[in-house]
Amino acid sequence: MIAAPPHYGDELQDYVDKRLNANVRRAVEDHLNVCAECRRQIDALTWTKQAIRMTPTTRAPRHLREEILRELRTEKVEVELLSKNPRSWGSNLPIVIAIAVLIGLGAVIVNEYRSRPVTVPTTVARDFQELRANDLNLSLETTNPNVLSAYFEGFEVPFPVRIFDPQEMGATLVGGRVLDPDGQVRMLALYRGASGQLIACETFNGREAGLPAGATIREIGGVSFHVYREGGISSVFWREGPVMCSLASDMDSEQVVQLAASQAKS
Amino acid sequence: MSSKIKSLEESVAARFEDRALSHVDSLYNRALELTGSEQSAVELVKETFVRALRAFSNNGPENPSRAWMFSIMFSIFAQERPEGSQRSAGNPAMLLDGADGEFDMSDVAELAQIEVAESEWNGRHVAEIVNRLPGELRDAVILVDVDQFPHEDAAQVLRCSVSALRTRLFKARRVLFTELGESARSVEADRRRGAFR
Repeated sequence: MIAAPPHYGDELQDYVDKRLNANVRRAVEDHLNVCAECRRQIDALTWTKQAIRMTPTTRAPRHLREEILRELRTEKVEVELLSKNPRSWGSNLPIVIAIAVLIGLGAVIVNEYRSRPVTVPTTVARDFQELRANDLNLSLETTNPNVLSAYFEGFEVPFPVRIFDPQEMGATLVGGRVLDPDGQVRMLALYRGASGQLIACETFNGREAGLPAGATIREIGGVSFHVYREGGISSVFWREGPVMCSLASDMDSEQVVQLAASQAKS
Repeated sequence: MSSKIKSLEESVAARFEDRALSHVDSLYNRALELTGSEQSAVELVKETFVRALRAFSNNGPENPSRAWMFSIMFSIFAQERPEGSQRSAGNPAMLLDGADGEFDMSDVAELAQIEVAESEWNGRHVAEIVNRLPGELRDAVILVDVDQFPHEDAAQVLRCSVSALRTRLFKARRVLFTELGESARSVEADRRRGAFR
């Protein structure tokens, strides 16, 4: 059990913005009952937010709505004129045919791609890429493992919640989210290493048999680690009871294996 | 065929008008802050609606949400700052003031005594101080605290990550706590002096 932090940080702003789930909110409120410093932070944030809301607003001038409607209707007429012009289709016929052929080819390629089963390492690597590119947002940002653990427990995920110790990994916790794209629940926690590199940890119900062929197997401390590398992302999988754990990063594979070994329970 | 197309276009345009026009006031308020002039704000909002209709009828979203309309407006403003726009650049020193550290909370208890809603200190004072914030901090705090966007939507409007939005928000609030506090105390002190005369 990791001790509660001396003071909360980002969670206080989230508390004032009403962004915390019930479990985390309760944890913060318990802490506020005994911590005058955090309570003053909350008072300061609340006072500031209340004052900012006094910024005056005004109604748009009456003529603006009329002018907008006029502009929109002019825009509409232009669309209609284009669609009514029969020559625009005839003169562009070669382009239309070329586009149709390209769309057809595209559909064949997409179908081919979709018909291939997406493997777990591909999913984990894709999640990492989306996190790195900011295309996948964390639903909770926190540096506190207890807070993230309470957040996951609030989802009643169908396996034990375990947050890897950031200190043991030489990293800082960034936050996490629960992924449930097709009923296969995965808990995702994101860490940032000392040099700024990202490390994504996912846990889910599963077995080694669900992993695809092609892994490099490493045995360390009685645990089998399945190592994959695709698209510049290394992912390492291992089993802990009913749960599969994974780490993914764009670091060197060996570094990811060593991080995994530091966290794995044999 | 052409009547079918026309009818389809009319129904798309009517759906757009019906839903998007409810955002006019909030778009205008933000346009006013962005451009600093009523005429430029009107032009910016009109251009936003025209571009939004084009996007909406061309595989746009099901619903022209407020966040989506704001994204279009911020993008137009960033690319083609309308003629006559005079947005305050803010005071860059505030960016440094808010860079690190905690809230200076020595006065929280005193400030709590000032009922902001009932004080002579009012929205005009607040707006003056908020307008002195550098643009990126101002945008974050106005979108979240005045326009009341969720963090995710505000991040979408500003094309930044939620994490970056939260950092800007915290910096802005920390700077504003000090600046607004000074302003509120000063107005309150004037009021008390007046009461004793």
